[in-house]
Amino acid sequence: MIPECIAALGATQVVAMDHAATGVVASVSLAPETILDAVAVLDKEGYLLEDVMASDLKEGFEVTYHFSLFEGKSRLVLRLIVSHDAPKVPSISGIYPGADWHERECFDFFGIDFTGHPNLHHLLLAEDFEGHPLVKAENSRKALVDVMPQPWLVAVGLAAPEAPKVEKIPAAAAGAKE
Amino acid sequence: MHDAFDSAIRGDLSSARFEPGPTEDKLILSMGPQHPSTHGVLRIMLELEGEYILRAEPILGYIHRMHEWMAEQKTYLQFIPNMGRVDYLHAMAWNWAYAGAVERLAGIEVPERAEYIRVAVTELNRISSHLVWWGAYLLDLGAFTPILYAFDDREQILDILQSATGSRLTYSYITIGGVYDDVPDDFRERCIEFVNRLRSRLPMYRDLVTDNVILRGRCEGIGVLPVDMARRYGATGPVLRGSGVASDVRRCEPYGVYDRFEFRVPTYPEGDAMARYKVRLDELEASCDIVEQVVSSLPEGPVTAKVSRVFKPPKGEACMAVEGARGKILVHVRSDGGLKPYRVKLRAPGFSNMSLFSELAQGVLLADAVSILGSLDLVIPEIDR
Repeated sequence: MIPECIAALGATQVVAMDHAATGVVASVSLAPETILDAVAVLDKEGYLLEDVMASDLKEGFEVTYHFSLFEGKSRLVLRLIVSHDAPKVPSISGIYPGADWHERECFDFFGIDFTGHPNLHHLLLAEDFEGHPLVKAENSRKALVDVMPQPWLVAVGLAAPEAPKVEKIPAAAAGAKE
Repeated sequence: MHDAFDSAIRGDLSSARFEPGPTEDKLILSMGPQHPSTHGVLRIMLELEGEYILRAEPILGYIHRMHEWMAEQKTYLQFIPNMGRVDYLHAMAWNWAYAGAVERLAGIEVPERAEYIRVAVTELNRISSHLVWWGAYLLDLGAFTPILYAFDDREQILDILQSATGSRLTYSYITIGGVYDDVPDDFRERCIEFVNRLRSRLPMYRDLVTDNVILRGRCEGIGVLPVDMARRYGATGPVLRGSGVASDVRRCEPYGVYDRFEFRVPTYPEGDAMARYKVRLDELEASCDIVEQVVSSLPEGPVTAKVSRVFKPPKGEACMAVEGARGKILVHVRSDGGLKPYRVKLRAPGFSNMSLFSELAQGVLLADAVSILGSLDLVIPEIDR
């Protein structure tokens, strides 16, 4: 399921995901400074940019990029985390011009600075709007382990695989019915 | 004195970045946010050399409502009515994308009858959306009558959907676990009747409008979009298919029961406004085919899975892509195991389709830019969210 080009992305972690449960086929974690090289590889492979989104977590702002091919179940998610104090991510709008507006939207909602962006200013919010509406209060931020699916956590070593105790229950239930 | 007047009328941040001069022919024009051809509250700053566009910059946000913030304040079920307001022309597809993402997250199995009904209402809604686009686009190009015909046909769909959902435009019918209620007994007959009616009307539309030489003059060779550019901007839906790429979410990652029906994914290789026009008209027929197949094989059974009133999906994240009338709708939902979503992201197809307008409009006549805008089928509330 995982395309071959993923090996060239310079990822820190690659996890194959269940499309039926998550809508993506692979999750690729990257260091922020390697995003441009990774995106250039996907561009060469003919991937279409779906969106760029951010999410506020305890560890920092998580920026995720979604790519897919024209055909088949092929959605890849590239994720990186930048600190709350200095949220700087290289802009990919030089490779995918469609990212221009998506990055401006992330700037609007989270205040993330996309370095090298040609036109980083308000897109959806009013020009005199102060603050960033989707930044959460310190005490309501959740850690990555609290918002990621269990199979992903197990694959990256943040959670222990569940003990296979599930089998017992259906057997007992079936016995009770008879 | 002159300078003071200039700075007073120059207005806001967006217009301040456009400078008039140095020649007399160079004009700055602020088109919108109340211009009829921008279909709502879109504003475009234009730098013109006579009648030709040197630079065009869309300015968004006039109907921004921050749906993504609202999602974090509401429970999963309470957010459903928002989805109908994101894109009021194809509300069903947005409903489905959100409900589907949450279902993936919680592992909810949707009953078969509900899946069939979802396909039927979404396709009817797609037809109504394309009919509005068709009428409005021709209105932009100066043909008044077609919109009256289009709205006549659309009215029949709204009646059918009202009988099933209770609403005429902003449905909240597709809900987590299925659909809100079963369709009425005469749903099948009314759908068949409508499909036959629309099929008998389409040849007339072709003869009177599509083959019209004035329309062709306004559309053919206008706004030619190369495939590679479409890909880099993330263009999807009829805009991408008008550039010859047979990419359709219903085909490439089938959701619901779409894989059980036969339908055509129309493409035209020219990439111009006419190709996008023809794709949408062909999709009317394709949707008719799907509706016909669905209602003639509608299985019996329940229409909703059991979903707890105090609904808490497990922690995790999931996304769902749905083929909307304007392209690929993608809804991401992230849960921390609580009552409310931790983060919801709405990927609007119109947002990406609109973002390529700047490049597409460079060097074209102002009147052709109106034709290009219309051919992208914009719904501004969806772009601004």
